[in-house]
Amino acid sequence: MPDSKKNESVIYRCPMCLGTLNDVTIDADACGIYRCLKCGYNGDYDNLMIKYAEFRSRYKLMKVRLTLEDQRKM
Amino acid sequence: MILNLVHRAALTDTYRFQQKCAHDLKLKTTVYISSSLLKNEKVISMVKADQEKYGDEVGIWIDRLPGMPSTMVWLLSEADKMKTVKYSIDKYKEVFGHAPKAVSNYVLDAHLIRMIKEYCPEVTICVAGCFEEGVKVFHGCNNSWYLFSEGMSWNPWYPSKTQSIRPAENEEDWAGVVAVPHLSRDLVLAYEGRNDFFASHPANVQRGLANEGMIHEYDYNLADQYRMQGDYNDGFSYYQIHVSSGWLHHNHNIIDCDEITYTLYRDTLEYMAKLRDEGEVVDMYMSEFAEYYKKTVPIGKADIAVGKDILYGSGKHYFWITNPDYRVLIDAFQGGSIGDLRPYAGKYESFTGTDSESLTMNSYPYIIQSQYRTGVKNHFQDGSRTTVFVKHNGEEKDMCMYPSKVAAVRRDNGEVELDLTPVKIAFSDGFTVKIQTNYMFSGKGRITVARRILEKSEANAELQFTEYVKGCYGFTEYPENMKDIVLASDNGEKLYYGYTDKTLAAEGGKTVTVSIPQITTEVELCAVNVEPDRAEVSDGSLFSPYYTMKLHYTLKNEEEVKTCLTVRKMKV
Ligand SMILES: [Zn+2]
Repeated sequence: MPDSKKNESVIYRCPMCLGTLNDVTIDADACGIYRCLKCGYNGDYDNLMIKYAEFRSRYKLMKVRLTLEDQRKM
Repeated sequence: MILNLVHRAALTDTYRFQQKCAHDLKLKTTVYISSSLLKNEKVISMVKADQEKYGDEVGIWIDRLPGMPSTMVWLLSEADKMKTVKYSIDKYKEVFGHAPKAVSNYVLDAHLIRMIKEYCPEVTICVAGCFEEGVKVFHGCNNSWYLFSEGMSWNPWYPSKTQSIRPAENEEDWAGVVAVPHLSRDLVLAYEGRNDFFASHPANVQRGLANEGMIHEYDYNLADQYRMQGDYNDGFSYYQIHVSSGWLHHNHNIIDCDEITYTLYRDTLEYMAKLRDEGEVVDMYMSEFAEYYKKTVPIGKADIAVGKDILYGSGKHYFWITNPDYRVLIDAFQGGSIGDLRPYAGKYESFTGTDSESLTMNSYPYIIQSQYRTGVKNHFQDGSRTTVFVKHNGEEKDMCMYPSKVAAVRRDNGEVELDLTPVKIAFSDGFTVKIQTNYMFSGKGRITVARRILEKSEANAELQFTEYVKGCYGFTEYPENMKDIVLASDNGEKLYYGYTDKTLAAEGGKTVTVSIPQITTEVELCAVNVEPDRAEVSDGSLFSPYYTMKLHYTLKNEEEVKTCLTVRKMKV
């Protein structure tokens, strides 16, 4: 699922730089390809969303509610 | 858990949205006005109107004035800091008719706190540092965020007079205000990752992509991680939500649309209000909290935190303790090694700004930092860390490779005791030994580690233990100049640090020490209950710039080996 519908007011970040935990904003060129100024990443909007989803896959508990009681038992 | 909710006044729709959320939920809110907005009539009348209607506390977000360098307030010259303090306090008094009680910024260095308190004794509380913000955030912000505040508490503290993030030893040493961290940061991920991804700040969590659209369980889980700390601190726990309005609209670090960002913020406050209604959270104004803290938490009391991974599912546990002598992080996953050690007992002094030799650096120096300074060996050699090597029949095992967890934490008469879960070590000849690591944190800078032998597969088997401390000193991930450090053993021999890789070995010795004049700190490793065969302390090399302390024990029927690591102020 994408973060949100493609929304012109949203500023995106380079997913490859994000992978190194660096925040670098990224814009699309006239053909709709996002190109990073700092690294070699290039990809269209759909690819950007795929890369963000890959980044998130590290958070295995992201959708799990861990209450106080759950955490005490962890 | 106590909640401080903080908003920063701005003429924006997002600020109005934040205020509406707080007021609808009847959450006590502290509003900060930045110094340069104190003359803005629109801002002042808006803030005053909210104050009258809802009771908001109003404080100063002390910030550089027009014409001063484009920098953070704690990085100004001494003269500009003083000018800012005087202007801000005077203007606040003129506008509100009384003195402020809360004056804050992300970091306040020791001199700025002194100037504020001297000029306005009525000030009782300051936001004055960011837990584990420094190197990783600098990198994460494209090497452009010069905020170095590592080595402090995750919790409120009494700042000392000579280094603002060092907790005061006593009344005399205390700068006179209660300091609180900016936000509450994840007790695992602020160490392993970026503290500005994993904080009590829904937009920070979005920055770390730890939400998926409107799904944001982590915001609730983190609040509960902090609630759990009451279990270890006589019921006391503290949480701060503090989001400036710029985060909620068209922010360059957020890839969600504003609707999602707004919803996550409101949901988080709703959770706080729900907990308050259930009696689980007490919301306070900041100055109200200062009075509560002074009544409840005496100067010098140890703060404890247990960090359990609530996002990655690694199962890791970390244990933190802060007292006026040190801040220690025990990495349970690495067999209970020390992953970070800040020797407050050395009373390293520093302030920041253009008149300071430290310039931007307000971090308290470490002597062990296993994330920045290698820790366990991966490429060349290991780096700063502790461990015990267990040797049987010529085969040696490193305790760092045996994951454990926090089993129990006890407080007794100012001492704090930590038990880790036992680990079982198996050798290639079939021999096994079950060892439990226990720590005792007591006064005079002592950290006593006990290795308890719970079970041996062969009752009379001989074991060699080497308690091992590899240290350095530093502020960032780069090494500092180690020359002038002195290594010594208890037979009177000394070795001057010179990157020579030499070792000083004392047969039958039981103590080794390292003196680090750069941070006015002395570190000692001393046997407690078993006579070591040999004590060693080693110089490093330029490709491995550490000092190494070792105590070698031979164990036959002993059930426990205790070793004490002490940090103290270096005698000059
Ligand atoms: Zn990039």
